[in-house]
Amino acid sequence: MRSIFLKDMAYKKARVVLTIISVACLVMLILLMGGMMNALTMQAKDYVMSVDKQAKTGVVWLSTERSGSTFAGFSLLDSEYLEVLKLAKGVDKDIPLSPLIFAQARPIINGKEKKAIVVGYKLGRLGGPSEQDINDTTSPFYPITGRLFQPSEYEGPEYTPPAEVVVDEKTGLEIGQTVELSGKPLKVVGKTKGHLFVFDTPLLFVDLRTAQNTVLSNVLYVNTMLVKAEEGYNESTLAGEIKNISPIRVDAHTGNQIVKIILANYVDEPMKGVRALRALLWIATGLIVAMITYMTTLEKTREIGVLKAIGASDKYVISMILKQVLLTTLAGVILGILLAVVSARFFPIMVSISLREPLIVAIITIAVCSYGGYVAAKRAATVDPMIAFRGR
Amino acid sequence: METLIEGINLVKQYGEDSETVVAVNDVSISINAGELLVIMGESGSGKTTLTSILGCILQPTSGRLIINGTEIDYKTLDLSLIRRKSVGFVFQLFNLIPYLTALDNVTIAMNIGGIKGQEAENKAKELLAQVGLSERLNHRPSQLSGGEQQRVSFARSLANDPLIVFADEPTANLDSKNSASIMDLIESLCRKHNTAFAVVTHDMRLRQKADRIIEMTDGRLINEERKNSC
Repeated sequence: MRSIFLKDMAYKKARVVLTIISVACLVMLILLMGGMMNALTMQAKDYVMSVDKQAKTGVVWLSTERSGSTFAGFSLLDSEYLEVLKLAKGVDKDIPLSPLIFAQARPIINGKEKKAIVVGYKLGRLGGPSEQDINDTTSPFYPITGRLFQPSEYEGPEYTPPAEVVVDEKTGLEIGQTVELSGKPLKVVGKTKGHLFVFDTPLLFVDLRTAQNTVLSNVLYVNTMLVKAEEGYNESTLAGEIKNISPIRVDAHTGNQIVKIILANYVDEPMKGVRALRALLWIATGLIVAMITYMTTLEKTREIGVLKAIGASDKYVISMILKQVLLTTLAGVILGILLAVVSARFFPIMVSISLREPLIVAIITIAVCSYGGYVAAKRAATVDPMIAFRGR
Repeated sequence: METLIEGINLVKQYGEDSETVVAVNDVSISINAGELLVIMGESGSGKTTLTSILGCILQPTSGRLIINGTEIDYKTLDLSLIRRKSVGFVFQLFNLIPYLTALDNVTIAMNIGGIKGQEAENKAKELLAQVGLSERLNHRPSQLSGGEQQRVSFARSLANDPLIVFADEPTANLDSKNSASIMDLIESLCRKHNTAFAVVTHDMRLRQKADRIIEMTDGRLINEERKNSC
């Protein structure tokens, strides 16, 4: 004979299917929320880690003193004033300093205003793709299609830089199209792939002078300076030393510190609510399973009473109900994972579901639902077998 | 004759103080192996409560219960074990599991009692054949008549070869024809299996078949009529 719990489930299949769908929907939401946070974390790290990888040795990120970095506050630096740092101990002699502009902008793309991050840097310095990255599969900025922008030759205020831009493919722009930035048209000459900042914000790589000319209204300042540590020199030590060089007064952060700042400002803080919601969804899943199990057992009071009257122990009753809960939850979790993986492809923002995440979600969901089911099953096991006699 | 169950000075009270209801009042009773005992009495006289105590479903307020020579210690003994191994029940409302077939309803009782697989299925088929339901093995309770459901219930009660079967008004929900048929079945099963049957009933026809008849009023045994022994 097939197990009694399977026959019971088959008999009440509409309810079982509804429970499975409910659990699946909640598991899908939990996974999508987690995947959204994963994607945000990845995007928050991507640019800074790419620059760190490009430098090979450590990089120190300079910003205006007490600004908390370009990624957290307002920073404006005079790059010429900081040129003296190239002589400091521990600074790489080949690419000592890389001026950088990293700024949020609202370019007009295909006639619509969109959000984007403008990255202005000097070709051959740190901060964006260089010529050698085009064919280097190990480069953090690989792959690049098309070409890079023409570098500016003169840095004076009257100079108009080449109006060219390399965009991420997420912008939907094709090579040869034009993007309008601060009222100035820039021609798309190249494309990168997968270089996004948080909330799927694409990066637009331009010459430093172009960035100054557009997002900084032609002010010849930068908001970050990157100082590359020489090989074997610790970036944390370098950052500490730069802070102590008088009369230079800047904030100096390592790449890891910058990542932490970005995560704190763009991921952890805004995602607090999502995390709380995720925890609530887990509780809701457990409650739904417990409530449905409990309601079902209430309907089955007489059956349970009869089973107990003919000799079923409390353990038998609990195990019968728990098996149903486990099977229902497991089916719901598997369906939920499949739905999450499929719907992640069509989600309006990037969702990254790691291999580990479904496993953790499955374990926690099954644990929560089993506990809820166990509470209901324990309650069911207290049914008095006397109920079998006269239904009271 | 071998005594199977002996209840000594059994009392069952419900409620406290002025609200107290004495359902079974100082009853001493013994049931012998293979005996067909009929318990009669008016509604509320304590018949069901007494059978529940004797069948180890209900714990008495006071008194002693000895089953097959062993006194029941309610503090330490798992009563479900006794119900599994030594006692069978037939209920007034049949109480079959609605989502199980007739065969499964009998098999499940064996599974609970520790008999599983083909052995359980073969034995269940045999029991259902004995109650005349060989052709209805795969029917669910909703597809069976009241009389047929009660027959399945009798087959289930015998699943684990109990020492005694307690039947609580097994014909109360049946028409006259089915009732008569169930009476015959009780007698036949009692004689064939040499299992004691204690039947709570108002049906006078079973008096003719019983070995002993006891009557209850207000929780007490008031009359005992011994006829023959099986």
